[in-house]
Amino acid sequence: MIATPAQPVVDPVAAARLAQVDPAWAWAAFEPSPDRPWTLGLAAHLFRRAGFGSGWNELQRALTRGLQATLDDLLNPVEEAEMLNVTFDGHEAAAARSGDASSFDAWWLRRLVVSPDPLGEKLTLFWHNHFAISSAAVADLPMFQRHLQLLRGRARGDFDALLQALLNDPAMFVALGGDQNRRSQPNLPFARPWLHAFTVGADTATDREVLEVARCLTGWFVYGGKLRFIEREHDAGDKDLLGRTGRFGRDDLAAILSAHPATGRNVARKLFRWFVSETVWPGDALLEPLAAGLRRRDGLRSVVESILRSNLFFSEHALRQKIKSPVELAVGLARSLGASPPTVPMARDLVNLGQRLDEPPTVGGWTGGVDWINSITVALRLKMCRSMLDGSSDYGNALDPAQVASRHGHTNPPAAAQFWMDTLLQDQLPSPSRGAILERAAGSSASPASLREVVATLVSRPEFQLS
Amino acid sequence: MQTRRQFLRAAVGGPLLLSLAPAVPLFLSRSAARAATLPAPGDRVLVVIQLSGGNDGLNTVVPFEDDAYSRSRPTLRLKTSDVRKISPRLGLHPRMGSFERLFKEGRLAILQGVGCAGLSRDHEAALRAWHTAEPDSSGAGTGWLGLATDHLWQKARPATPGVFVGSIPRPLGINAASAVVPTLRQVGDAAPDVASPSSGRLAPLEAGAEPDAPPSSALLGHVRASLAMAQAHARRLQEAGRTSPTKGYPACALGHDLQTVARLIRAQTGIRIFYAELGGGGIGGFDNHANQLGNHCALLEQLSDSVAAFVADLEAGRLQDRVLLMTFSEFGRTVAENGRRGTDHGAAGPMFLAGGKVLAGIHGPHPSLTELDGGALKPGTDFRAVYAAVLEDWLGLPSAAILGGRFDRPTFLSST
Repeated sequence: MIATPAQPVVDPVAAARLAQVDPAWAWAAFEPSPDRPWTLGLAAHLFRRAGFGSGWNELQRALTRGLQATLDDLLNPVEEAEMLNVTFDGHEAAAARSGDASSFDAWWLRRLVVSPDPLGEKLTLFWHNHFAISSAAVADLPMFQRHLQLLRGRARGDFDALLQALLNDPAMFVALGGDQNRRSQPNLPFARPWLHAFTVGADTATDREVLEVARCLTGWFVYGGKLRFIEREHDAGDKDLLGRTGRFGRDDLAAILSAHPATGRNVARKLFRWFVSETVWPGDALLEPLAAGLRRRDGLRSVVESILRSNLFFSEHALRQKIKSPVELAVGLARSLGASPPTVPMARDLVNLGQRLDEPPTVGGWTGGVDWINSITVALRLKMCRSMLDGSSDYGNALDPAQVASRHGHTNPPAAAQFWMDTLLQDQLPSPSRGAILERAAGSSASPASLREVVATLVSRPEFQLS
Repeated sequence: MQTRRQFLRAAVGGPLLLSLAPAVPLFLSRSAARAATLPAPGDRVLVVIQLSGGNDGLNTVVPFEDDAYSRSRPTLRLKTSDVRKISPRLGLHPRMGSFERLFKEGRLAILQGVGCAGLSRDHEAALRAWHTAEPDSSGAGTGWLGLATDHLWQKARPATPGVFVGSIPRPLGINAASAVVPTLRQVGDAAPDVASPSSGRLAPLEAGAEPDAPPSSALLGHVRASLAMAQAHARRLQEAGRTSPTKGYPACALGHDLQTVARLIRAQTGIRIFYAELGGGGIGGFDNHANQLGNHCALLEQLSDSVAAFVADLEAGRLQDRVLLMTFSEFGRTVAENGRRGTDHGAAGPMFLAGGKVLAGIHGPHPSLTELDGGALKPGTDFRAVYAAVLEDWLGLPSAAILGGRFDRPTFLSST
């Protein structure tokens, strides 16, 4: 078992800029003004980060309703979201019972494409990336599916309660090697991720503390798919853990680990990397307001709200400072066109792009950022996007740019090209490129096929890989 | 001793500075590649072939002089007159004519009796041990070649450092923690959109490479550099497709895959680790519990002919000194056959090494056929020691960090 801290590659220019930032300004609510208006570009940024992208209708609604109302919509899911989740839990459970992980992933992807609660799904994925266990390590797909349901159900909640629930989750015990944790021989590799990857971090926890956590967890075994306590296997002696001493057991762990200041900072840093920027490594002072919120047990919904409302989030420190994960790229393209393409080929393509949803590479999750894109995956990304758009691959004809454009009244080629540029890239293209693409569109026939080519060109732009 | 976790922190953490300029790896010119010294570590390529199912080493490198061999193998023993003798006591399987030639030309090394004491004889557990280099661990999600790939990725971004070439799911051995390891089935997969352009399309890569303003963020610079590299690779792959020999490779999956590897090396794609596979995909492969003889012949012939064609291809491109090829299998077989004209799961077995810089010949003693462990050969060389030599002496990587310990490295690479 390996705990990989997700320390990012740093852009020195961005880091120097961030060092000048006053934390009070950073986390104060962003108020659009004539100098800094609420634009299509900012609305699309919000939808990309808080969810998986947006179609024209969502962007227009956001512009009309304004930032506050749009954020409120994202934070408070509509009732249909709950119903949809129940339906999809059923589909995923059936796929899990069949033991087919790729079919399971395909259902998960479909949920991401159609969910009316994209923020809930984004947070579920965040927790899956934080408490990153692989279905292969669980070796029981229905158990893994119940684990994800647990994450989804508690995604907006309190970290302490989530940790408590995961310390009672058989999937975690199986995946991390809890079966080998014996009173006579505590299993350090089983205990290590709970400290290093999930809470206080490797810099704070000594090897002694890893041993103490293993001792706290002795006696708990998975039998018949449930965690059971075998008292004679439990080490009931005193444990010294993070400056506290007591006859601690499993049920004391969540409180001790989540109350430690390092835990708040680590989770805050991961939230920063997930929602704000992958090009800087924020200092403790900047993170402190978020960490304090986590310590106060404000709930993740509230901490995430303060991120998504902030000056920092809508500033150059955050805009385009992330690379879309493969899932964000594929699901985002589908959602931008308001379409629901087949997700079996999508799951297959995502594996080769490095993101098989049910199998994060280590307990540290996907490292992301520049790691996503190398000289081969960049070409595979373009290939996937073009397959989704070309109308004749195994993605079928679900993504139909001409139909969507004409529904919004854009039938002539330059107007349709402009419409897709606004929907997919907003103001991100430099003007020479904008001009060249519009000019080419003006010279092309008004056929659905030539509009597909225009859209394929737009999604092949390097800017489209950024979030 | 550095643990694997500490290594990852060192390799992944940092924080490292992201350069705005593409890190284009330098390659040796042909004249330099011809020089007698070991090529610079940054140019060396490793090709690993997994023989899935547990290869019967005794019928691969045959101790034909040993009475115990013929005694133990009433129906499976290969005739002394049929084996291809490479020493007074050892001969290669009759269908491995190509390996016999490579051996006699001084281009093939055989490491005898490689394994690990106490290794499981369950396919999954044994393969997991070979993949993770952790015989005792069942939990790791990364493999030794994956961690090597992570290490190379830190230095060479955005060049893809490691790939799996084949049609089974990507083996655990090359699962990385941070680098993305693509699976390639054919050459075109390494640069997909450019390799098969269709008429009338706007070339997407060119659209991405327009000389727009300097990148507004380091990430955009990284994406652009990756695209530019993909474009360059695509051009060179088309060239390599024209100049590579198309004949010589046997018509089998491994032949196809090694030809793909050779083209990717020739096109200077910067890929340093290639993982290929023979025998997997549901047909049982080397796992011959019954009627072993026929199936085993076919696989060994495919292996021997494919590797020989690959070596010839590299030599035609004067690339042989930059490439090291290595085979492994999760275990050998039992010495005695099992009454069904087959053999059961064993322990130690031979590994083959090929390339311009291997010290050709037979390395290590042949394990005893009479002092056995549970009916199988006892390992004389720990496979992690072989890995350590490959990592340290060939790829120039810190083997102790990747393998979680130090091992006495056997010498099978030329130091000149």
